[in-house]
Amino acid sequence: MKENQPNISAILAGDSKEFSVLVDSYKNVVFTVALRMLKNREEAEEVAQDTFIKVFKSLKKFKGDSKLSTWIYRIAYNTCLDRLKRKGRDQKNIAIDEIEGFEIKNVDNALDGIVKSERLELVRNCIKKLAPKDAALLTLFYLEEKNLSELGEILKMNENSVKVGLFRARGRLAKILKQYLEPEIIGNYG
Amino acid sequence: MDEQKDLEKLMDKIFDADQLDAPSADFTTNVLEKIEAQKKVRLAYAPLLPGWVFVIIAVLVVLFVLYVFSSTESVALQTNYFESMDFSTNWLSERMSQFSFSKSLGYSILVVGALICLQARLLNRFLYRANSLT
Repeated sequence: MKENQPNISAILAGDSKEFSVLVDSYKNVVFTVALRMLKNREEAEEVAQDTFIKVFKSLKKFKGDSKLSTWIYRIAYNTCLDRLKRKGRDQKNIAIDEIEGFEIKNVDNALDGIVKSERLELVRNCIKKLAPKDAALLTLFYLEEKNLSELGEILKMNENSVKVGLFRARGRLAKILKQYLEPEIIGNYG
Repeated sequence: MDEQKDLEKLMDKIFDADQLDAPSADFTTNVLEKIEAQKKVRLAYAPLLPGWVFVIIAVLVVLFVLYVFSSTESVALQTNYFESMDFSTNWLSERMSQFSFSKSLGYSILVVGALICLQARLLNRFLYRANSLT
C-alpha cells in the first residue's frame, strides 16, 4: 500500500500537482521494471515517461476493477514489450540447464560470504542476464510483492502460468548466480 | 519439494539485498512538461468550426428539408416522398423563375452533404485517436 495515494478525481479535473503525486508514488517501480526489461538506463527512462503519459491519457478509462498500481504496471509492461518489439530485440530466454538441488545450497552458502553492498551489485548483474519477462515477473513479485493474480493481470497470464513462470525464472536466476559465484563456490570446497 | 523450498529461500536472500532503481531527479517534471506540450499540440487539432456552428447547420438542413416537404400538397398522404418534392412550386422557384432546380440536383446535394458530414465526423474521430495515441 502506498503512503500517498493520488486523488484520481482531482487528476481528471486537471490537477497536475495531484498527477505528480501519482508519478512520484510509482516512478521507481515503473522505472525499475523498464530498466530490467530493456537493460538500458536511457531507454528505461524514456519508456517510463511514456508509461505515465499513457496513464494520464487513459486515466478516465480506469474503472477501479483492479488496483491502480496493477493497472499502471500493466501499461508499463506493455510499453516495454512494444519497445522491445519495435527494436526487434530478442525477448526469449537463453537456454540454461536446470539447477540441481545441491547447486542451490552451494549458491546459498557462497552468497553468505558476500557483503550486502556487493550483493546488490551482483543481484543486479544477474537480473540483467534474464529475459525481459522473467525480470519483470521476479521484480514485481519480490520487490513490489504482487500476488499471483495481480501478476497475471499485469502480464496477461493465468495464475497457473504465472506460478510456472515464477518457478522457472527463479531457477534461471539461481543458475546465472551460480555462474557468477563459481570462484566463491570452488573456494568453499578448498 | 525441498529443492523448491531451498530455491525460494535463496530467492528471498537475493531479493532481500535488492532495491528499486530511481530515475533521474527531474523525471516527474519531464513527464508533466511532456503532458503540457501534448495538450498544446492537441489544441492545434481543434476543429475549424466549433460545435455550435455544426448545430446551426444541422438545424438549417432540417428546416430546409421540412420546408421542401411542406411546400407540396398532401405530402402526408403520399407514400413516395421523393416524388412529392416538387421544386417548381416552391418559394425559391417562384422568385427566381429562371433558376431551375431539378429533383436529382436536390437529392445529390442532400446525399453529398450527408456524406461530407459523415466523413468529417469519421476523420475527426480518426485524427483524434491517432493524436491521442502518439
